[in-house]
Amino acid sequence: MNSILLFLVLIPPFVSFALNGLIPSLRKSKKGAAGLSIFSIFVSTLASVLLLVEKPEVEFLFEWIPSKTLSPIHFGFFLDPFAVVMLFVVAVVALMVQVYSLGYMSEETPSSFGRYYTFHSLFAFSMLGFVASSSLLQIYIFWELVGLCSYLLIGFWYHRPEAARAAIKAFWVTRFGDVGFAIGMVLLWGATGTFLLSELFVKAPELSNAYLSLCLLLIFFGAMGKSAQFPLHVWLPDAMEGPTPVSALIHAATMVVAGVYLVVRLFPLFQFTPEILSFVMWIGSITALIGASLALIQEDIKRILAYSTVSQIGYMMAAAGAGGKALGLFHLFTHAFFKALLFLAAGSIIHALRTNNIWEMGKLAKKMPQTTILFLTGALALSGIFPFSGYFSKDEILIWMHNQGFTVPFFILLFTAFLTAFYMFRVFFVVFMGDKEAKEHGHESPWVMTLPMWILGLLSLGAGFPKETFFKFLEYDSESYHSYLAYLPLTVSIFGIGTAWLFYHKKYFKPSRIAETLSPITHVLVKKLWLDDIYLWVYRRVLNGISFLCGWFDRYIVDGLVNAISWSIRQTSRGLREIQTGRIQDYLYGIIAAIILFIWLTLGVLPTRDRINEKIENPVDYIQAPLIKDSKRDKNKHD
Amino acid sequence: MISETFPVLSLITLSPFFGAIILLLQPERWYLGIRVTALFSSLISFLGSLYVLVYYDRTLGGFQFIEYIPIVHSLGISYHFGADGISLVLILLTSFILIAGVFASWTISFRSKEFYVLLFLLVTGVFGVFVSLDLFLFFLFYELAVLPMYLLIGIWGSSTRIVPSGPFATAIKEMGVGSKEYGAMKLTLYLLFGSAFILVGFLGLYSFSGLKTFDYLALETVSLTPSLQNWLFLLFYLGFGSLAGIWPIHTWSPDGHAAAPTATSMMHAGVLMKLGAYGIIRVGMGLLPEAAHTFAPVIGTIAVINIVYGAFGAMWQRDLKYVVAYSSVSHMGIVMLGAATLNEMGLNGAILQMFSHGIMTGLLFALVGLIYEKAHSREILRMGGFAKRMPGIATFFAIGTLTSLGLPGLSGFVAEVLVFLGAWKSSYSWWLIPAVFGAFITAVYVLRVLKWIFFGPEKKIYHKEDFSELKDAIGVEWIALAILSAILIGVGLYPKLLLDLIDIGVVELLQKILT
Repeated sequence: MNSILLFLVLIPPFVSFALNGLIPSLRKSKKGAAGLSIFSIFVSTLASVLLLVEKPEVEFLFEWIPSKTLSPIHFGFFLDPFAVVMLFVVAVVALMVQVYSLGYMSEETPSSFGRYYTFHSLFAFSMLGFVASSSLLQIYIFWELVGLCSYLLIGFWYHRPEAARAAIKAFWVTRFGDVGFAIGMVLLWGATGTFLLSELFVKAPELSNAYLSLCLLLIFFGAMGKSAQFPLHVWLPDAMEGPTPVSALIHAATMVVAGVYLVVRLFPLFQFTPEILSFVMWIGSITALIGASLALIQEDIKRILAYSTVSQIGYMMAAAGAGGKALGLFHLFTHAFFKALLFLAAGSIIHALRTNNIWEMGKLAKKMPQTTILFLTGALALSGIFPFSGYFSKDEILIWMHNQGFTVPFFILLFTAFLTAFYMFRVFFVVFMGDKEAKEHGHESPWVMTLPMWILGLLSLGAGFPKETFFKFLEYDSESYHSYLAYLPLTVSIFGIGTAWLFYHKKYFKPSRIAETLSPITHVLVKKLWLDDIYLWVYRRVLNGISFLCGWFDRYIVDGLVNAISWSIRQTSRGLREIQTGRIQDYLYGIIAAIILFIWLTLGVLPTRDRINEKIENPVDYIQAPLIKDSKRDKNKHD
Repeated sequence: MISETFPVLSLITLSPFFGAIILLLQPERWYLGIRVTALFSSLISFLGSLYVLVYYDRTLGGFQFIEYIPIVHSLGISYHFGADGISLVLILLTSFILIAGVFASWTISFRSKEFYVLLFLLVTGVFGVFVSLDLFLFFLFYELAVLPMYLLIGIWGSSTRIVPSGPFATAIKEMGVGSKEYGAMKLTLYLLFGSAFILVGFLGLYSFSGLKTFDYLALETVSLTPSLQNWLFLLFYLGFGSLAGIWPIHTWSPDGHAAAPTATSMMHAGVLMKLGAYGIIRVGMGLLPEAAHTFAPVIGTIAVINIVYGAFGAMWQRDLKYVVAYSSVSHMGIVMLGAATLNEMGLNGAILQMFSHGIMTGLLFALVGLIYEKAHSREILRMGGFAKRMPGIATFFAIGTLTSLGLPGLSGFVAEVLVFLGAWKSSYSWWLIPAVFGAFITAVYVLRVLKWIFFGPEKKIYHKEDFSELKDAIGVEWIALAILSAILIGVGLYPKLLLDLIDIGVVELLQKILT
């Protein structure tokens, strides 16, 4: 029964992908393609809700790669409470985004509209498959597949050079992280002989700590690439070139948090390596801070949200690294809803105004009232204001950090909370309350776009309340604290909102003056920590340089040598060929010369056979003497 | 079911041969007749290879479908055919590529009859090598597979321009590097150079074994002294290696591939290069197990060089065919690395990589041919934004390149992962690191090429003002692409179909090597 439910989650999107992919006429029928895709993800969502209610533990395996001397590799699915929660999140957000896209993408041509939904179905299938995977290899498989979908959807408008560039960048950076993942995975297999998570968890403690640490560090490197952790976060802001619903689904709610989910899923391994966990925590904290700081100075509304995603994933990583895996997942859970909501609201604005720049927007509160309320909901949730969902999850993380004694990360994250509130309300005050008149006439979006937003809005509002149930579901004991600490994050966030209000609404201070005062920091932020420049340098100089060396060496040295050898042979033969002129006279000369040579030889110029066989009686070192003797003897004979 | 004694392997091997003869009897103007004959005889081979795949007894293992007819008793030469798990998969690969090749050259208008005749002779040779259990026969078919290539490239090939430079600029200029005649000659000379070594090796086996026979099964039982094994292995490694494209005797392959017409490139990169790897595994490792142990570190290290160097080499290229050709060099490195691991995972991966790379390169070369036909250019930097006008070709190209970079769900991934696992389990685990890195470099250059050609705004091609000729594939052109992509996806999703078979052959081979 339970495995049937699981298949009801996984199979429909795959069927939709296969049908849409294989039948061009279906794909090019606008309604058919979208309808099939949405229906399939709807079935998945229903099934995932049922799974959430039933809370089963499913394990299902079949042999995928046979092996006689080593253990065969299996393919299968394995559900635990974490996976069930994640399935629900993915299915719900995917459903909302696909419905929303009906409105957002309505101006596309039928074929690209169909393509869009085909990719979406593939994404839904791979992401759900990733969540339910039972083995590390399978996790890697789906991990790469969601990466492929991300690539395809970022580059959806392939004719735009920026989109094509961003897509390839996303693939390269995540793939670079996956080099680590792949090596770590193989290393882990080498020591345990299995990819199955259930077996790995049993065998891992037997491994030496250093070896396990190395494996997990490498695997975490993959997670850093996928989850846009510093310093591999550079692809995520660029990925905003894709359609906005895609950003909401893939680059905010689901795919980018795959790294966090991986750490949570592999936590039974990570718990044996405290060093790696603290590395995870530090990377998370640093990413949170850097993401939030970079979000401060962006002007593109989607990029602000993208950096905000980077920062929030940092929170999740930090929580997971500090040992609070349930907290990390809880923040992932709430973040998925409010960040998707924010992106969809931003998409609604972009759809209406056809610009991404926040300085070209203004006074939207009146023109787009629904979007305003929804964006505000998302912003409050992201800033962590009671009673919105972000409040619960972020608070838990901060308190946990403090109670575990990670003081420095705690303060970093606390400061980040301030920045978060500040940059979010900077956007809010400028876009919705600002006095600039937008060029295009703003209007509210159609209901297919607002309805999913309202549902996500309700979820962003309410997702935090069942905190206790959530933790109980994950079999995690939460403790509640009633100290000054519980109010600290909230205070900080309100302070952040207040600052934004003073700067951007009341305009008591000029932001540009602050930026000038802090010019070194601003400069670093404007340059995005030079990371893009460094990567570009590595690509242009190092990779292209080596490729030039290899290619040039191959063409002109290795192959050059081959050519040189054959050329010299040809030149030699060409020289020798001169002899063969085809004129009888020349040959006659040759014959005559040969005859003369022959006669000359027989006349005894060179030693003949007899002479060679003649015994040399005199000692070898006595070279000249015999000749003289001989001549004397000859003379004597003559005489 | 056909009776037990039915010579199905002969049917597979000789069907293209008789096809060629029937083709010769037809006049050139029978446009459809020629193509139908070609298709029909390749279908017979294909059905035959499906038949042996299904009726191979997996519990029994070993060589099956044996056909044995002594030819020259006194010299120990016989007509001895048989197939095990490894050769079955390669036979299947060949027949797939053959059918795809027939469709890919459907539109050839210049001397199409002769083209098919030569192609079919070549394929007869390839099938023959995979099923021969007699070294004399093996060599005969091997030469048959190599020689028609010269004419195929020399007559139907295409030239490119290479700028002479470097210390050997004069030689490069004078030799006419880049022309089709040069490519054809280079390829033939290289491969004949290789087969000289192989012949010496075979004669050495013949005389030193003391059995006076060329029979593979008989020679398997002989154990030679280690030093003799080493010398013979070295001969085979050089001989077959020149066909497998091992570094540094691989430079015929880019020039040859680039000059060859579409179906020939497909056949060549797809199947012919596998003959080399198959020879090393079957003859080298199968008959000289101790030498295989001794040489494994050398083979593996050179394979790793192949992977990384080939990938970087491909990155430098700006001619589409050269990119695919260099990627073949890189991928053949993965095959050889898998072979060098000397364990089940690695060897399974090596054989599967042969299959997967064969299909993938076949697909890519078919696509390059189509692009060239429409755009009249192979220079990547002069193309751009093609996806708008040829969405179908773009999709298939994406499938091909994604297989090449080892994307899960496509067959290349399974093969690569198996080789990686094998590499880590082998005695030289460090091989893993450059191999995985090579896969990353592959991702860098293939995606870049995909982007340059298909994405971005449309570029004007240098001698064309309008894009109206840039059309998507039509009619027959789809068939080859569809068949090959379907196989890539099918094997990628459920590799057990092929791996079950491969595993039987590999385990038997390993038993010989490891005991």
